[in-house]
Amino acid sequence: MGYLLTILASFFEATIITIGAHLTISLGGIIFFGLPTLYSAGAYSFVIANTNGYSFYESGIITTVVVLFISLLFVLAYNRLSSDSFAIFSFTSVLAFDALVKSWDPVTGGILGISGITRPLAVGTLSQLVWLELIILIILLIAEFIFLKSRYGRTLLGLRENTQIISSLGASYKKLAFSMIIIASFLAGIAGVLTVWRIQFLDPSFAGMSIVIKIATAAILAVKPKIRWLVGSVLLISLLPEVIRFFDLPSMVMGHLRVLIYTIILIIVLRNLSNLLNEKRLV
Amino acid sequence: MFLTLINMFILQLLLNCLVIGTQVVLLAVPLYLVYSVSRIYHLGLGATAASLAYAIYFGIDHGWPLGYSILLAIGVAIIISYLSFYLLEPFAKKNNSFYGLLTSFAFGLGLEALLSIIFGTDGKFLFNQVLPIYSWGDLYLTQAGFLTIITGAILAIITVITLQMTPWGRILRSSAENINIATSLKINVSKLRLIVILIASLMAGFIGTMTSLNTVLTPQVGFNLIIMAFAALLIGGVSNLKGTIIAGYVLVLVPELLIGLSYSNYDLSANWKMVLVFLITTILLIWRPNGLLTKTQRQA
Repeated sequence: MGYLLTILASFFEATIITIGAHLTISLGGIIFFGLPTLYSAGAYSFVIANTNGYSFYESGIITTVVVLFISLLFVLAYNRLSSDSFAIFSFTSVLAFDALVKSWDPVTGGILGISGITRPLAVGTLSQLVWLELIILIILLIAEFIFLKSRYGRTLLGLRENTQIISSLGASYKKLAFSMIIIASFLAGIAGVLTVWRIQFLDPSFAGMSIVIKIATAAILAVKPKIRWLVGSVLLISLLPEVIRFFDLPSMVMGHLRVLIYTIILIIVLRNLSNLLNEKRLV
Repeated sequence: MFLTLINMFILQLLLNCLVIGTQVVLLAVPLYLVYSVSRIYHLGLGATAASLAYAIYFGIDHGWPLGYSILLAIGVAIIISYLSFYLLEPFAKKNNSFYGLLTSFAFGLGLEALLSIIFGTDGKFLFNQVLPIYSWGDLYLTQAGFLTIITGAILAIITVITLQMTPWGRILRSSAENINIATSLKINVSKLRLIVILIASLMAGFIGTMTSLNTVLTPQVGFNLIIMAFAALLIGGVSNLKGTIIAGYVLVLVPELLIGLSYSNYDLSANWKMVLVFLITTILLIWRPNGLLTKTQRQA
């Protein structure tokens, strides 16, 4: 039962962060690789605040401020850089944040991390946490569904196709892109906090390359603006590596095999993207 | 005496920066070449560098002579180049740099994961014996570092001469400027891309090997270098090789000086390097988003 709840919880957390990637990478065409940075930053800021005596609500506010600050930095970078430059800039932020948490021993615990993290009383058990994550996920999926059907959702899809036509129709594509980056950042922060409540331990390996490739693969798989594609892609990405658990492989190989599977899926999907994108133009 | 020690310390720091900076620049040049002909940033070059270094390690570990190990590495470079070309060419033809970037990124990560599975993640040494160290007074330089600097200088001269003075260089520059016109002049742009990717892979393999000789060989040996090389390309300007070279050395020099000269309560460990690289990249990109030496042009 514990294994099933853990799988469910990690699926819900992955879906929450992938909603952000869906809005930015898949639908908006914004190559934003910085979501693992926000995922880790959200987790670290909440845990550090909480272990330093702040209540859960106060820690939540501090986390919100930290995530907002970092997301605004990304917005500034997006405004100044080309899309490819922004992609690498956001990707480098993952490495830089990893180096920061490893180096800043007095605050983050360095490579040893922070252990014994407590959950709020209302979600003291794993099953209660899973229920909370499910409720949050349902709310977010409904919100995304409504958003995609709205005028702003269609403008977002136009962002991927042709920003000049979007501008000529009077829509501010930059404001929309900025909003999507900020929303995706918050979703990543929320997912980070929920994950750390589940595993109750935090170290620099919390958000690394495997998270980057997992999010990118799920986002590219969910290329259509449909919720079922999003959920389906995360389900596939989350469950496929679980299959390799049933093979008698050394544990040190499992992590790398998982990354290899994700990269193969991503490459296959990218090469067949034109078939997946066989839909009417929106602009 | 104390001042002499400080001077020697700074000189040694500068010498180390020259070696690492040359490694970054030597990886930025193939990145620039591939971008010129395909408009795609080939992030898989970092993993390619590691793969070729591992090919040499495989040969040496199995008792092969060095020449055979190098031939094996060249064979691996040809295979990886064909694979990279096969994966990236459809996106280069459609001018789709977004998916090309994602593909090269996935390819690089997949190659690293494969190397980790086959060879493990523990550090390997290419040679079991201690390599020669050259010294000038109190300054020291490893053989790998010396080779890197010399090769960097030679390759820089060859690159400039090839690009500026040879027909092949003119073909490359014309393809970089306008691929459609180059195609209309019967230049086989696909074949050009394949050759450029092969040359880029070989250069990356050389750097991967030199880096492994200076430190240790791990599957991630090319990864940090390719990110720094890419940052150097962005900061220097994607169409400006001179700016890329300057940016490469700045990206290495400033963090190394800050870490090396930090002391007491402000002591920075080597782990802070990537943070400093990121901060410098951010500041320079926000100050000069088009490149250090690139002039802003009117968009319309």
